[in-house]
Amino acid sequence: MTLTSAQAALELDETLAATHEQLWQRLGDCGTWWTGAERVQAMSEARQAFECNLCKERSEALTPMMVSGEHDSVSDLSAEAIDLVHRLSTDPGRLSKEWASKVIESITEEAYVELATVVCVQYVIDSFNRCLDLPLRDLPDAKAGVPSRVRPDGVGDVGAWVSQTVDKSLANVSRAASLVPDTEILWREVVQSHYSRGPQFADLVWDRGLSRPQVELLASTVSALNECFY
Amino acid sequence: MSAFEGLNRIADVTGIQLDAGLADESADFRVTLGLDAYSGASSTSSEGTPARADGVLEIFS
Repeated sequence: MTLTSAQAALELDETLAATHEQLWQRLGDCGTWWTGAERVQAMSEARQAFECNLCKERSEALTPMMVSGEHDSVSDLSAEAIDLVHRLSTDPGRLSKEWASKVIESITEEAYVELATVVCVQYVIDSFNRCLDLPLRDLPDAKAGVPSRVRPDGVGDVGAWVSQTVDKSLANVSRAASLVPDTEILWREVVQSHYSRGPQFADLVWDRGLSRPQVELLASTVSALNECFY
Repeated sequence: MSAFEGLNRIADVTGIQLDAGLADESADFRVTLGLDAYSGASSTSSEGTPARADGVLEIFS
């Protein structure tokens, strides 16, 4: 099938399009650790990262920390927050625990996880549009509100760089953002809509446009290109 | 593809470890494919013991 317009692409799956739209708008909500305005600024930075000279130079270096400098930024976020957003967007496979610890020391681990989760949800939706050669969505409106800054119960050290729920009921990746439950919901919804779809995740045979092996081959290919170990 | 771009990023930025079942499931081919040389490999403390899981959910135990 050849897609000739954005409308044709969205008509492929109206449910997915509706999910994208409502998740996109919720990314602009006031979070638990960041205001709506700050979250939208981070989304702006995630797109700016692809125009950033420092990110480009680092991507071509043997290791990213060989290249120092300032990011070409478009927001009032702190330098550490901007570095988190830019590096997560452009060079995720070479993030390190030492680097993460420094960012966390500056902005707190809860804020780190919330901002990272916002960017990851955005990345799924933006890359979906890029794959189909659709225009990127306008950034969502920033909603009013004051972050509650409430850390959830039942989280702790489970061996990751950040605290996560100690209740391991599913894959480690499924609890990656459990430190910020209100934002984690967005992450779970976008992954469910694109990939896992509840109990279907346990099935080896899928009745979809792509078979389960074909989907997992795509997953492996993307992970190899990103050098994602997990 | 876009979902996996996001999944890669959330895994990398939070530094999660391989699940025990996943470490076992991949222990042999990680070496063959050179995956243990990836930067993110340092996040996982257990190399696992080569074994095949009975199902998808067992891989992520």
